[in-house]
Amino acid sequence: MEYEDLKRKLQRIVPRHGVFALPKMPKLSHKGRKKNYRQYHLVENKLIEPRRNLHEEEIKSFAEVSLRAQACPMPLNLDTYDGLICPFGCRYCYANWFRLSLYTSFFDNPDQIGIRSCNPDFFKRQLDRYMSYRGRVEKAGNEVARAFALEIPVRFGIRFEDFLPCEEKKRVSYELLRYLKEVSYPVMINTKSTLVGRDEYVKVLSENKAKAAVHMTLITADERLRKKLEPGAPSFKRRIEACASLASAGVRVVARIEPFMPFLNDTMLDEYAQALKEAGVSNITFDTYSYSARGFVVRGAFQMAGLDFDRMFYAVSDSQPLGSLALALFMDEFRKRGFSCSTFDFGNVPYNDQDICCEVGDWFESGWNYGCGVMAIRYIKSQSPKPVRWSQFENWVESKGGFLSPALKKEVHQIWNGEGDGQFYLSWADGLKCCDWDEDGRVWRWDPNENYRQKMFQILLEGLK
Amino acid sequence: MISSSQLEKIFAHAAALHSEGKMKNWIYGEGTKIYILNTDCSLLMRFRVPWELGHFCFSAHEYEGQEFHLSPTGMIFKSQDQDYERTKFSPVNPPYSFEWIKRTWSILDQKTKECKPVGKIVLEDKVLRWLEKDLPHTEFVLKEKGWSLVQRNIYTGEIIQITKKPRPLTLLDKDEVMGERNIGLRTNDFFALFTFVPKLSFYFYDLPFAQAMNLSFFDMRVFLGGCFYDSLGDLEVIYGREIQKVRHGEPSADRKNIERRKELIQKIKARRRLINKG
Repeated sequence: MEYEDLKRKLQRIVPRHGVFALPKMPKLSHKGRKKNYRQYHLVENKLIEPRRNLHEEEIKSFAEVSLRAQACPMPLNLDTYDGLICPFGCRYCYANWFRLSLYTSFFDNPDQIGIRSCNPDFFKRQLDRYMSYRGRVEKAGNEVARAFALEIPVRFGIRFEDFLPCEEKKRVSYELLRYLKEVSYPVMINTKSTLVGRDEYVKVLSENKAKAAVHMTLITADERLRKKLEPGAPSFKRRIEACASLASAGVRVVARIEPFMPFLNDTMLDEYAQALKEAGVSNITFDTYSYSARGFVVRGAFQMAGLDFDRMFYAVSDSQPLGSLALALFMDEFRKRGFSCSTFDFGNVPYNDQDICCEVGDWFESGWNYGCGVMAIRYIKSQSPKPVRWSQFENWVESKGGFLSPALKKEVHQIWNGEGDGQFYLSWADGLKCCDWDEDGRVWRWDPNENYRQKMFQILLEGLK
Repeated sequence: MISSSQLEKIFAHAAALHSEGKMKNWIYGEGTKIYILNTDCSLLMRFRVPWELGHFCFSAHEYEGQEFHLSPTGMIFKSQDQDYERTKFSPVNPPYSFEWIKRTWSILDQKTKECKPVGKIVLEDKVLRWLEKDLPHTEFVLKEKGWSLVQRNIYTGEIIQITKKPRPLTLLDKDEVMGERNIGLRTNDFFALFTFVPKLSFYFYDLPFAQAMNLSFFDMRVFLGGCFYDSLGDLEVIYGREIQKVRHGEPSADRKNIERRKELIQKIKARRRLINKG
């Protein structure tokens, strides 16, 4: 089946969802503090105004292991910037609303929080400490230290955009990139900004001996749609230019179609592919729209722009198998055009062109978080047709440096057995079949003839007749 | 120093409140007096016991029962059973010195002595079941006709008012309101008091704090820092909470778009009006 064929059928299963009236967007409110609040301090013997303020300029927590580390092979995040609202203002971004609600609920000074950044002296001190663990896994205590010990590439721009226009003046990200170049530590950037295409950034990335990669988010070549979805971000053309300058300098550039939104950003594929090829980009990574986006505010933002959120969301996010199938066929469209394609979507991980879903598995020579869901699926597939037990996978991970922490190991085991909070399940992977049980739970085997997504789609089509 | 089972209760309750996060506090002791100060300094308790306790000072979560004393290096807690004895050494680093606490107590005590109470209210722990634990403040609204407890939810505009039904009371339990006074107490502090005793008399003055006491339980006296805000004592229901202006960080990229959107909405409305007209 071709993607366009599936889309036509999907249109019948999930009809258009129009709205009669535009939603009234909620206004941002203060932390629950009573007006003109004062409290008597018994020891100081005076009325005080207790306030919990967030440091307006500086962030301290810049290095972390992602909350998705149980599924992700590259979970080491560094973020140099943070703020209440990202100026790019992407409509599909639910992180903005999450941050807004967090900061306005916990702190008394959200109205003073602009773009906060990390102090280079601080992060250099911190990183010096972490760098001392490189290659000494047994000495590393916490998850972050272990990630550095395994030399997992660091990723910029996971929680916030790290190459905003203000970076031009502050140069915090640049300083960090320069530091990583000096210590030869692999780095990957996720961005929509064209700043990374400037000569000095290109130079600092290309001169990193441990190599650097840039994930440029390019969700569509349709500029009209791009303006609606990412009103504050640079244009498609300017981003392609940045990609070209990076690729020509020897930096791996990966186009990122995330989120993939059927009925919205699945058009103009020829123009998109042509532009990437001209820029020297041959790798693309994809993902469907996260279920976390389910919320009044994101939906409202789409509707305000005249976009049908519901149809897209029900088609690919509400039903994991359906979204996964649509994404599989969408990725095939790019494979036909000569691109190497991978995704974090568990359903399609067995068919990824690379083990690392960020399309940098053949680029970096460093370590990965082998103890994660994506790697488990890839390992099971690599052992096909033999069944794989948890103990085998565990031994394989240990041989590669081990899990980042015992807690993470437990979470991966839960994913393996379909337990836990339901964020990820191994059973979502197409072709993976539970063939037996042992004392550790499920025993998996990869069977290429097993395609539960196609079966489910056929059942849905039967229902339409 | 061995504490009696009654005395043990004071420390155990303070430790429990601390560990539950309801009232983080420091415990000070000297001679026959025990002081408990919460970390926000909105509550200062004093108990007087009939025997000498020695000198001690520790954070309530350090408390380990039975036997403890202050050594030059810090607090030493000892506990034992038939087979083993456990000794814990804890460094002492209180936010305020014992002298400072004593001085604070005498200042507050002096102020209340110099000032005539505006009202006296006797409350039992039965009242707690009518209060919302999640609302941060409990307001005492004293008017010449009587008094009421008020809690307000600033998010929804809800107001809860609690009054005491008239019933025959002894002279000791009788409430007296001589003037008008509105004062807010932190709900956590208010609840914490009833962990120690089931009944308390609250005294209110023209001062920014209140006093509570139950002299039958180790001569318990408490000073409670008042909370003051614009809506204090106001029984008029206001819907919703205040809207805050938020600075949009760096140059707002979406500003033009917002204006365009407004224009678009205007156009849609105009078109709808035309359609409705016919």
